[in-house]
Amino acid sequence: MREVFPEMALWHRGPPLYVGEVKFERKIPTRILLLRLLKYITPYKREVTLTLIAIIASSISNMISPYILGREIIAKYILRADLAGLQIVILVFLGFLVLGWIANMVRTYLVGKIGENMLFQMRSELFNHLQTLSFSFFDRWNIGDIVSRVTNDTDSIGEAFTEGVIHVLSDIMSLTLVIGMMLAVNVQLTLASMVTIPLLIVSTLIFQSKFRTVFRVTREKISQVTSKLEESLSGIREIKSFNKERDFIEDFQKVNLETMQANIRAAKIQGAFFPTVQVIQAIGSGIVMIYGGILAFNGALGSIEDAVGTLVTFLLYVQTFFRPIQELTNFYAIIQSALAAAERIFELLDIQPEVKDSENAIEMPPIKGEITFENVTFGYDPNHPVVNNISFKINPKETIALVGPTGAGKSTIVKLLCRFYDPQQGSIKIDGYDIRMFTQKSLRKQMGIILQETLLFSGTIKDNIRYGKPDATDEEVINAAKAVGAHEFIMNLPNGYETKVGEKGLGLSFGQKQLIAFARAILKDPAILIMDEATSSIDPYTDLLIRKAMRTLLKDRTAIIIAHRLSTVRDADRILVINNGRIVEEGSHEELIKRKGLYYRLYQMQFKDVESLSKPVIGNEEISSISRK
Amino acid sequence: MSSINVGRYWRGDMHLLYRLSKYIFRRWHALLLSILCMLASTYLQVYIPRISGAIIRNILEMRDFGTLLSLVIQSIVLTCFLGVISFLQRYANSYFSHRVIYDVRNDLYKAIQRQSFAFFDRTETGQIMSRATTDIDRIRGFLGFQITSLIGSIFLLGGIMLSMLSISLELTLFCFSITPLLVIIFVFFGKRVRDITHKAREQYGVLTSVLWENVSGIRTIRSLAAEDQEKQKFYDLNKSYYQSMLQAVRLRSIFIPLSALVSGSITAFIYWYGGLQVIGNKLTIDQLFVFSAYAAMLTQPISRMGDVWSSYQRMAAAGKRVFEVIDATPDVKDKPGAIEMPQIKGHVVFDNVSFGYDNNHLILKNVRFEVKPGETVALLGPTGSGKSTIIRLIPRFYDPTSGRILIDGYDIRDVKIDSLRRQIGIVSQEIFLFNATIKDNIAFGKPNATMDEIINVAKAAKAYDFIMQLPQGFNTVVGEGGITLSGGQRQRIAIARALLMNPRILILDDSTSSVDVDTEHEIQQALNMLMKGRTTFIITQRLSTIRNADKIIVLNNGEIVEEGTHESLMKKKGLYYRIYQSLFDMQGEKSLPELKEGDTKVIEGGFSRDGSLA
Repeated sequence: MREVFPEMALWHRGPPLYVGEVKFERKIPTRILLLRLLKYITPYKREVTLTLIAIIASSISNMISPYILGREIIAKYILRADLAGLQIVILVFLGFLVLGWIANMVRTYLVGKIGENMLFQMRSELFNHLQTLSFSFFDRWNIGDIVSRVTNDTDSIGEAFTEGVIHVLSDIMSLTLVIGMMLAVNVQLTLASMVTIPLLIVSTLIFQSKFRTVFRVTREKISQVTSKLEESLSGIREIKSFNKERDFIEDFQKVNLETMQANIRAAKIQGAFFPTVQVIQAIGSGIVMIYGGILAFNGALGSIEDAVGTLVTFLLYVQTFFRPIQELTNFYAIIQSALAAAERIFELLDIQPEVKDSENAIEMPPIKGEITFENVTFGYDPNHPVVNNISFKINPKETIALVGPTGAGKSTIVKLLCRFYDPQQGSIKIDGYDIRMFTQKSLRKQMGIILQETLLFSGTIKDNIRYGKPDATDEEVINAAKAVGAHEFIMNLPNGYETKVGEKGLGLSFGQKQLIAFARAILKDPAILIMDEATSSIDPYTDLLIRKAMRTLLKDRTAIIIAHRLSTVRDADRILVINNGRIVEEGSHEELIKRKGLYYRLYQMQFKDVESLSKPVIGNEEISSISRK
Repeated sequence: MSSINVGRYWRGDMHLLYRLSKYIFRRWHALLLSILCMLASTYLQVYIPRISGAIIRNILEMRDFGTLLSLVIQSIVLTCFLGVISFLQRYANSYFSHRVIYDVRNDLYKAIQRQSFAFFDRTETGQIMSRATTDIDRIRGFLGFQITSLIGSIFLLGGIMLSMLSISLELTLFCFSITPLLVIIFVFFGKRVRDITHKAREQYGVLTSVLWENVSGIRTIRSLAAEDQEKQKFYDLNKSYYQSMLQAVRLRSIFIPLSALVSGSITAFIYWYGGLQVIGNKLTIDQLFVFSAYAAMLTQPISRMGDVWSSYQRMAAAGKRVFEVIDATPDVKDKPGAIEMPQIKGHVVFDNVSFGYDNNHLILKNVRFEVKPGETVALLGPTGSGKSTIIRLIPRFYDPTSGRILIDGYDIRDVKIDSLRRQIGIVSQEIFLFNATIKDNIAFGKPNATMDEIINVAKAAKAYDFIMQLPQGFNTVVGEGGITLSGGQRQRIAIARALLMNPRILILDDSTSSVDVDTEHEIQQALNMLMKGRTTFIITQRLSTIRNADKIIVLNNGEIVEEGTHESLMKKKGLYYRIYQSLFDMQGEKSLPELKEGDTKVIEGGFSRDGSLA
């Protein structure tokens, strides 16, 4: 009955003509994929049964109306002038209509409900699973890929279920019923009316494969248009500075023209499809009428009234053939793309988190903040350790600066302490307890971690500050902001603490974001503070503010800082110099300078340029003195 | 927020249709062909059921096989003919809509290229993108289908009605008394389904962006142990999206079967009432059959017309957004009779220049200074003090709100923009490289440059060595799909790019570069090379550059607060002195000075939006 709405006959836009790239190579066998998909439907056994019943009922009511119209209403009652009978049979006809209506309602509703539930379930499961996966996963996978599995792939499964499976079930049901009914009425005429079916199947398949090629081309072309546009928008300032507008317009017109040509080529094929089907349909009807006429004239269809009724029934049936067959030819492609999507989803769901809470993990009690690394070895690739048999101890409330060349293993040490990764050998202890004893969450609850780049979530400033402690009161939030010197600039924002930031909100400067991160950390009042100092240079004003804030932040807690700033290094209680995954030197700034080892060299390299300025040579000679190194 | 302020009153749908009609008339042949085909196919569609009726009559009454055969052949031939016509109609229509869209998209692109910087400041890239893609698609959807569909529907409806009337007045009246019901169903439910789907789509957008944010911020989330919070957030959004979708399902499950019920009931009635008439010999069975075929055709034009309306509304909203950009007048453009800028010597004067993106908030206030040819000017000041604005005014990225800028005595508004910009080299802080080879990127402003020239500028910009180490040297593709260059490398490419233009005035925005020590030297050397013999404006934190400048201009809050050489300003012990101290301290050896009352205010001034200084 869906052919009634919203498209019909000439307006027919057809079943989905093209169902996306079909990926045939899969790692997980079809059977297993189907079984796993089935699991999402099993909680709805009752609904599924009802749906099947509804499909049967609606197919029956669909298929029986041509029969009643032709063989009963026309042949038995109108042509035989049976008034009373006509009224009864019309009521029966209406009865079937109502039955079909109810069955269709039930079917549409239940299918939608099961489908939406399934998708809801899948999305939740995927998202929750992502929250458990380890950093190593996020290091390897690309964000777009992950997001597309949670959104696009679930969508295409949903579509395949509601548009594909259910329609196909109804189609098979209808076809079987139609053929059964036709056979029951007249075998010869049935065979005659099926003559055009192979023609229909073949032409549909041919068209589909053509659609695939032309639509691939149009998609490629339109994405060229988009990327040209994107590029010229991101580079608009360069284009204008270099007076290149005309060249870019010419370039764009070229791809735009190609897009148009590809689309027109596609339109040619698309435009030919429906008329072809229409002609095949007309031939089918023609055969029924000619052969039916011969049979009728021979008296093979019974009385002339019955013959007319039968012919009308068959004409109506021949028309109902076409859509199910077109859809069935498309079914394979729909299922293939859904299975490919399912595979991508399950692949993600099957990834096991590398860092897991142990089974009897306990909540970490309030800690003092003593940290011990005992012979810790770790490599992202176990064969290439980044941290090599490191041991050190940090006393409560001590501030430690980690210094070393890029790739020395500084940030890995910090990540191990946060249990973003687990060491391959050795152990990390806090207050004497191995951190693997505790749940990851309770461990991180007592740590303040400040990353190089601060990410603000879309929401208000207030939400962002209390992100790590959602139950913090407004007063606590304001106090935290005051403590790190962020209060003033926040109050200067259009809506103060209620100002929206993040993707759709106000853009904050780098320094402002850092201060928010500080406030976020101090609000948690963590026993251990871990910080990866930002390398990006910021303007001197912000820098001063950040340094002031850091002093507040470091007070009364154990702190490990990956230091990039001279002032931080000098303010630290102790400096650990890391090289090639080992601690090579240890001590205070003065001690290390005296030792003239790696620290001294690093120090020289980093600040050499600036130091030369401390001898106030002013004039042109200075540039040459710098360039001489 | 979703609208671009074009500073021009939009005159509503009529204006949109007027704008669109210009594009439509340019392709009128295709549209006309499509409409003619549509009429012909409508006629055939209405005519063909009569043949079926004649066949039934033939079987019932005449029983002549020859006539039957000729009728069937007639019907097949007509259907073939109909097929050809409807193919032509579809093809002409697609051709027409794609042609129109091609023109609109070109004009949109040209309009984008014409806009001045202020436009891009206030308009997000994503917004322009969606105008050029989604919105244009909507227009195409309307043109490609709905115009002819509307005309076709009206004719089909008329044709069906006339044919029905020729068969039976009473039955026709009955059928058309039911049509309002159909219209109500289509319009009412159609709108509700669309509304709820629209809502659901928006929720889905939010869901996706939360997901995206979560995955890209997963490290922060884990650090803050905020997974549960995130799960809850996602769960809530997922749930409300699910509920909207379910609501849509519920509506659809009532709506879709209902239309079948209505049209089925019409058929039932026709056979009941018509059957009575056949029995009473007022109607023949073939007439009844044909009539019911027409009645079955009735729902399509009605539902199509509902579609046309909603598609029109969507198109109107989209079209408005598209033409808003096409019709936007750029803020900065050549004035009539603008002359070519002669070879610039480099004498630059800011004569009482004020500037604000809107009139209430001036970013520059009465700025006046003079720069002699070949001088280097360093601009200093807190964030938002107006130093970037000054350098943007020189190549006329914006026009001053009041006052004037003179280069070699010419008001820059009196000369042609391209002749001005051709002589100004700009290296900005965010360097964009195009998705092309290194060679093309360097030759960006001078496509006919020889390879020798390119190599020379690359060497001068200290870029040659690293370029030669890339896989394909100068032919290495950078940008999307190519290799990624580091900040320092990009900067040197940009310097080479500017050098190749041999500009007379140089503008360097170097304020936030972060590169390692060695690169720093190389860049410094490259810059020195670039600055030689040209008037240069530079924003930098590099102490040596600042000290070597011929002139230092210190800005605060849009005004020049100090001006002079390093020595004279250091003696003054004003804002420059303090900035220099803190810059020095950040980069240098000295320990953190204790903050004084006044300094803190300067510092906070750097943050506050108006940059006010106590």
